[in-house]
Amino acid sequence: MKRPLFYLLLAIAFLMRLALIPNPGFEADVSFWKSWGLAILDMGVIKGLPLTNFNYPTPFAYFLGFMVWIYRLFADPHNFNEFWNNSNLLFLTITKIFPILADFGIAGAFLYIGRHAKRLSFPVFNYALCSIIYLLNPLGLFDGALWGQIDSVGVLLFLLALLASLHRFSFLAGIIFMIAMMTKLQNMIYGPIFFLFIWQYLGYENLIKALGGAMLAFGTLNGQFFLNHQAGRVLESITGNYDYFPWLSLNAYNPWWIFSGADGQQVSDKVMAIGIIKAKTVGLLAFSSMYLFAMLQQIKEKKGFLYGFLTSLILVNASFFLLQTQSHDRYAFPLSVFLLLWFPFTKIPFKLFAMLYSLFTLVYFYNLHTALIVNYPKNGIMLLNSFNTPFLTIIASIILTSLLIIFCIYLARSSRFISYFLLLIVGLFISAILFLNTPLMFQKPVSLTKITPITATAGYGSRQINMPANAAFGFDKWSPLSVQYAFYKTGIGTHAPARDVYDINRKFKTFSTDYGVDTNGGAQGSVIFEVYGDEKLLFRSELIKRFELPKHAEIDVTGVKILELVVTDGGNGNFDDHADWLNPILIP
Amino acid sequence: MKHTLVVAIGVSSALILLIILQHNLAFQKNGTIVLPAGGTYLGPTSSPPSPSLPFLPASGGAVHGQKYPYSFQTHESVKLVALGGAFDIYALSINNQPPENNVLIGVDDLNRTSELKKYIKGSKRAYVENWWKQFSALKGVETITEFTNKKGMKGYKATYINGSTEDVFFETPDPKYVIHLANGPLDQKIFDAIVDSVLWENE
Repeated sequence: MKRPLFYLLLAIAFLMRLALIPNPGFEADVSFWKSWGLAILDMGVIKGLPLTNFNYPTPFAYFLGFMVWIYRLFADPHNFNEFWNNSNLLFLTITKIFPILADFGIAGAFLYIGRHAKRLSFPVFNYALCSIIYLLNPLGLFDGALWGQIDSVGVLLFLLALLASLHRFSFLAGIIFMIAMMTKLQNMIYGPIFFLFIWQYLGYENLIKALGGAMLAFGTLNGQFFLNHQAGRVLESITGNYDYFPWLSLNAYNPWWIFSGADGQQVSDKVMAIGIIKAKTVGLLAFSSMYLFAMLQQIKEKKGFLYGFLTSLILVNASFFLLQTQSHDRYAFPLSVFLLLWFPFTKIPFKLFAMLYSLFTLVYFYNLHTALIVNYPKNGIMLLNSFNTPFLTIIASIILTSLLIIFCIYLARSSRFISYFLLLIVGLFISAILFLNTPLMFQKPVSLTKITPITATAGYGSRQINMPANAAFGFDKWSPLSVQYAFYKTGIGTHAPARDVYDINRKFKTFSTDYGVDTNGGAQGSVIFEVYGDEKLLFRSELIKRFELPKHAEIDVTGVKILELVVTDGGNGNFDDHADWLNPILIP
Repeated sequence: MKHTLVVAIGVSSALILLIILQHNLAFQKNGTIVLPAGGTYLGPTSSPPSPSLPFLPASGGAVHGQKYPYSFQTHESVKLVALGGAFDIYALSINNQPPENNVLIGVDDLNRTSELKKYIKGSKRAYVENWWKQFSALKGVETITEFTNKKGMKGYKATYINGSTEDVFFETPDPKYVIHLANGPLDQKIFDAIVDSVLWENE
């Protein structure tokens, strides 16, 4: 590519990004960052974070504090009307300048790879073209400069970790990988294949060094929390997002979006998807299977370790976006970079790759744009707003899923080993699905404790498995379920008023349970147990008091999809109302 | 080479013009205040709450709205701050948190905006179902339960996607007004007792 043209295109890419900065983007994200950054600036990380609902990795708090610190150099973040305004151009500029710079950092990484291709084990290719394709790609423009997210920062840091490992700086690679993960937690999914790659490429000793670097970075980045006895907050920041949005799809156009009828944020992922297996489990099984496939092909790939690793990155990222439930719209963003790094290793004709890459870009851009305008109709591109129809979103889901299938078929055709692996993985997945459905196939009862409710509410404490409701308040409150000292190994402890809703998907005929007020409850405990099937009352107990022995019920649930277990306070308030569903089983 | 430069300068000039236009448009727009959902930090607070705010000692007993004829029974452990204003708000005073972050009760006037006027007629369930749309960070309704409190007031308990509180809405004899409570950090039993005691007193 001629230099003047290259610089011209760079300038265009930069100016286009600048032009998008004033757009308020995804306003909720920006306002959360303002809140969390301001708390850090005003109170420090240790005192500030507990005042917020921060749910990112803890070291990211420093980054947010830094953003508001920069803001304070030019304006007063305590000027309420100015700071919290969604058109606050200064704050928008500060938040968006990081992903914009990261976009150019990614372009720089492409150029660097091009210049040192041989030394870095990359094939010779026109990587300047890759950098321009990325910079002018609407995905990069939209995600950072318009939406205001920092996915590109996460990708850039991950690329730097890769480059460090290719330069044999394994310890540094580990450090940078951890920084990437603490910036965008999603980078966690690349951990196993990244360290596998280091092992393959640099050997066991360097693997240990890389792991050491990662652990050192983790300890250092979270050091302030550990020193202030807040290890729990660090752990919470990494694990707390588990089941945070318990829906089939968070505007990610994938098979779960289709399954939900183009309404992924309204359907719980605790619904049964295949037989008696909930959607979430099916998603995790599918993702795990693909992850195993990615690792196996990476181990056996004959074109070189780097090609195998890049293939794994694509498989893992695409599966993360497409196969698991609770997937976010932006999760597939790194594919726009990984595909450009992977292509030069292949013999795919450029035109064919360009066509498929363009198709992915176009459809995924539609996905991102629609996800934004669903929440902020005025912040998108007006002309595209009318294309937001359920039918088109399902078509988009089909296309994105088909692209992963095409990718897998391409891999299977390229090597006999890989095709065997793919068959093995599909076989394993089907076996796991069949195994989990054995109770249904052999007409065996299923304990209700094994089924996750769609929703569960309790008037005190929370719904507990095999323990009374007050076990929620710490392990010193743990005890077995018992009603008037009749002890049970399995059951559900709750507290009136309580309501647990289960999807049993018309797979069962009878619901059998004992019930009563837990021995832990005080003398005033008195409740009524009710069971509803598809909103129709199927069973109501008499008033059950604390000192009564457990009672038993057998309820016909034939044809019932939604089963609700309700406990009411019996009309005298819910004091002492620890209520237990004991040995509750569903019989097919 | 010359041709490329001309094109470069032309495209760059056009884009710079576009940027200036965009910036001007952005400055002309007043924008709106967008606050994050849930209990989070919005700024430093004076501790204890500003003495200019009418501060109710923690003594329990009946509390009356200052502008609207609502009342409720509070608990002796609850410190309330009367923020008043158009919504006639009482907020919770908890540690050093700004009371504005912990609004307990207030009155929504459906005459306030043209958007809300459509909810004046008929059941208020539609209002509860759509209430979240006023807040950009909320994403939808999670649950709505209709109930009647011990004073005979018809209400709706609602939770919203991305929200961190339980919101309770009461219909009042005057269809323009809806009493609105949120539990915030309050103990659920105390909150439920307050909800049960809410009354719209006939004038």
